[in-house]
Amino acid sequence: MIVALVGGLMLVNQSQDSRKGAAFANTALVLLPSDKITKAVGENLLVHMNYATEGGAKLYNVDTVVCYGSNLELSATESTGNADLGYSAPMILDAAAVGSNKCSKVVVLKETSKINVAEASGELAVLKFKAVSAGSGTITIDKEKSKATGENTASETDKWITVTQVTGTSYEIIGSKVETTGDEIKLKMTYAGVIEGTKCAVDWPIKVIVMAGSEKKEISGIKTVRTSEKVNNMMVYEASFRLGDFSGKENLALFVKGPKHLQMKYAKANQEGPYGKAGGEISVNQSYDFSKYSALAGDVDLNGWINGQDFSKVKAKAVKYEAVADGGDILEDLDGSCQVNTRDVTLLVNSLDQKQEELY
Amino acid sequence: MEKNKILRGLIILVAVVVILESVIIIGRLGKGEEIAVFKTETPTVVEKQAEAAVMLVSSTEKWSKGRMGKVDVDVTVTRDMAVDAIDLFVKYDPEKVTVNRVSFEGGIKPTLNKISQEKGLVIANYLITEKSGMPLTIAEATRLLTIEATPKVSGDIQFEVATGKSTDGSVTMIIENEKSTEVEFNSLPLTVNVL
Repeated sequence: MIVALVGGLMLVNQSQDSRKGAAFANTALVLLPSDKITKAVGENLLVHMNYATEGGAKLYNVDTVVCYGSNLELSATESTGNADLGYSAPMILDAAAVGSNKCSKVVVLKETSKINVAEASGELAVLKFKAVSAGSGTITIDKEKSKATGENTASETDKWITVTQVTGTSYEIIGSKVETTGDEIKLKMTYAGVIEGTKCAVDWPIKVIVMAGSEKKEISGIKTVRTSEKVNNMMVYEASFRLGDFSGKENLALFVKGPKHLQMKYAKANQEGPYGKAGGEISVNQSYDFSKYSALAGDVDLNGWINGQDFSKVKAKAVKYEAVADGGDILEDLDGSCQVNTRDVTLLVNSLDQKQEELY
Repeated sequence: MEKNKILRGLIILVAVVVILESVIIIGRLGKGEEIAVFKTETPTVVEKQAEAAVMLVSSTEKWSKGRMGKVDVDVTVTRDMAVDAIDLFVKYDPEKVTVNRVSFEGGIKPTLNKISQEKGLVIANYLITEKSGMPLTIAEATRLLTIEATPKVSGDIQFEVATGKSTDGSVTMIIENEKSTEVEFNSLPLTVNVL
């Protein structure tokens, strides 16, 4: 009888323990893209945080820690949640560093109104990092510090979903994409809508693709420096860059892309509009003035086009008059005024109009 | 007698242990409920389905070569929603038909519109600056535009909403207010037989 009693007590205790740590439902948290992300200093890295549950579990809330190298900064204001599935924009807070890595606590919550909209797998959020210095590293999720809740089909009361698997990604930030050797090209340009007195269009970086026949080279992270000159009331910026081992000397074309702008083809001296032909007339070791053909602003989702989605993103911030301190940058602040407002919406519409005139 | 006493004692002990364990288990269940952030409801797994349709409808009964016909372009939705933007691209074969004009009577006026006879495209961008977007109501067709076109040849000619991935950015999209996300939509090409 005593043995049975002791055995019974042990069984009762075992049962309690297994319930407490039970893995009734599991989920994996995955950072994408899985391929190494290569960017230049000053560019943004968009990292998708996805989930995949097991056993029919539905994921509601995730509280996790994401760690990354000091080459990156995670934007607490520009990361977004997957609104389709009702996930909020992630709350991002500083967390204790791990070794030389920075860590951020990332919390994504599900809206109660979307509680019935659940999928076994999908995207939770898009984390927006900015590349601040050259180097390589990984972006990882700390499994031990990850917690999740949701609908656990095995229990009506236990809302924990165990994070059983995490997958990170890796990056390489290239600072040396700006060449220090080879022939040089100097240019002047304007950004549409950036007028005198704007305090948030500072050192905007450009990416230039240089082409000569079939030879092509991409140089990114080129700083544009504001001058005191004005053209059509817009501030003139200067940039210079070297071509490294690029062998072409003449008949070059430059495809220049600003940080929130469409790619512009600059192909001849004092160009004032679309070039409209293949090839170009640019020579190395010369200075060119493209300031009368402004870079068109509005590609805020950075897909190379301006469309309704860009408009909606700019409008969403314009209706809130979202602002940043002098010297800061909001992607949707197209005129660099430090505030997203009606002027940015108008600038985008003008860019779209001008581009469609050129294309169609 | 002595055995009965021991047995009674053990039964009482077992009863006390069972009661204690029950209290502990119930207490932990209570704690389990506290971590539940939301009400217990069984979620429905949903697949991404089209929530809108962009329809091309011929309002001309008989199409004849050299005579103008009309194609209406309407949008319908399967749930009430507000949209921030509609980028509409309608393709046609410029070798077979000339688009003379596009009208917006009885519908919403686009912010930008263009006919590219060279590329065979009718383009209209509806960019809604109202904070709350433009409401689209379930089962109510909203007229986007009417294409007035003159066939150059006899036989079948086709009008089609440009969708999917395109290398030149001519992609029709409906963007929902606030979320800035694309609304999934369906569209079928319209083929008219020209006599």
